[in-house]
Amino acid sequence: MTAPLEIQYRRLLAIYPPAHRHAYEEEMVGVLMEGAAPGQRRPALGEAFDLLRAGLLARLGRGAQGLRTSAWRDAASVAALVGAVLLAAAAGRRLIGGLRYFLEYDDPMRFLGVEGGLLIDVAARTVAWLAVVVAVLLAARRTAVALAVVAVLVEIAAIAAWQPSQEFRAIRMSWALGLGLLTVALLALSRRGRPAFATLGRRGGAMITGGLALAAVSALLLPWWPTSPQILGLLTVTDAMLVTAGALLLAGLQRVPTGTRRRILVLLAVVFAVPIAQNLLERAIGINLARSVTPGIVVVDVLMMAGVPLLAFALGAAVLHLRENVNVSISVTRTGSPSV
Amino acid sequence: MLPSMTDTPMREPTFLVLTALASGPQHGYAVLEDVARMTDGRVRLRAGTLYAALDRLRTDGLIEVDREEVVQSRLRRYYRLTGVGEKRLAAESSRLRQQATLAEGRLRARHDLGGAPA
Repeated sequence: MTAPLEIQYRRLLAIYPPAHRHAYEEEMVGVLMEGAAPGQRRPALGEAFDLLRAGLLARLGRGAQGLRTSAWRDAASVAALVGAVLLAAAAGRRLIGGLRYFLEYDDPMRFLGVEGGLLIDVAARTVAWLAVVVAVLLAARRTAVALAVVAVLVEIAAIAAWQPSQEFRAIRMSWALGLGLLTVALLALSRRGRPAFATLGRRGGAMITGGLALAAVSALLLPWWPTSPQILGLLTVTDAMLVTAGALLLAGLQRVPTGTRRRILVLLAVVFAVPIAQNLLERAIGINLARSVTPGIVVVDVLMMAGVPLLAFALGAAVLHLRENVNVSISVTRTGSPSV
Repeated sequence: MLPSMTDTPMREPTFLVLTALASGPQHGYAVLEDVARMTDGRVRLRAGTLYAALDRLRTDGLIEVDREEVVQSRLRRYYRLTGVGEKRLAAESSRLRQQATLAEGRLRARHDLGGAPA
């Protein structure tokens, strides 16, 4: 007859995936029963919790289990850096554009299409995210998290300031809020005292910085240099700079350890999914024709801004899981001994 | 073996399970008891945590099954350290020893300078 305690343990073990149960259930029941006190009728609370936790993690796979491993945490700091750079660049571009109009026409707001305003909000957003970028580069993780929270509050204040005159402001700026919150989460996940550059390596870091700088310079040149000369009649100078920047970025990434590089790509897919979600959202609600913000629009906004990045993560993690499992099984057949 | 595995510090349960198996093949329950004994009862691994570690270590090729026995109609599987596991454990203990030596050296220097608060 099976003891009631064993039945209860077997019920708990049902949380494990079938492959794991097949491999370990009998053995685990043996260990659990051997560890039980005489006359014990129920699993101890701590034991039950540990089984449920380990079983759920086994079900979610090694990818979810390892979300806090150093490879993920290193990748998170790199992705957070990209998030902060994107937010600083988006606000910075508007600031530079506004300043240009100010210098040329003495009217900072012509560029933004609103009269009489100032550039305070774009300036504040630029400075706030640049501060986050500096903190990440200095590997000051706690300061970076705190500054990123402040930067998100600045984004909220900037939305609130324009809300009375632009009803769709909050909807149009959803991406900034979403990307800001994502950056905060990535920074919280990243490792303390390990700069993004330690992950990228000196040469990889130099290549990626060079690539980003080149991309920024060519993007800034575009409005000033609409008809840049062609190289051999094939490619304009600014396009050539962008292509070189892309090649440098890819070459820099190639120098990162494989496991970390794959995780960086998964997290970057999540980061870039945010502006894509904004684009999809604006098309879905027909923002240029919509008259007012309805509760339905708010629901669609929240669902899309959360759903699209989550979907990107799920897809990326699934591809990663498949690739690394294939790798593991190959290396096991190479190094495994015939006695297993 | 995964490339990320060799350069990252090992988690304590993993380190203790490998240390338990370093003295020879053991079955799951014996590993639990050995870990508790080695740490004077400070670390008491539970079955869920133990088998998560064993499964991962097997997949990574650090341990393998030595033999199976049936005792009082219960399955007992003995695990042993592989060559890769031995190397990894040696690398991890040398890393820990280096850190401990560093800390002790600095504490001694601090004491010699009279920097320690009364």
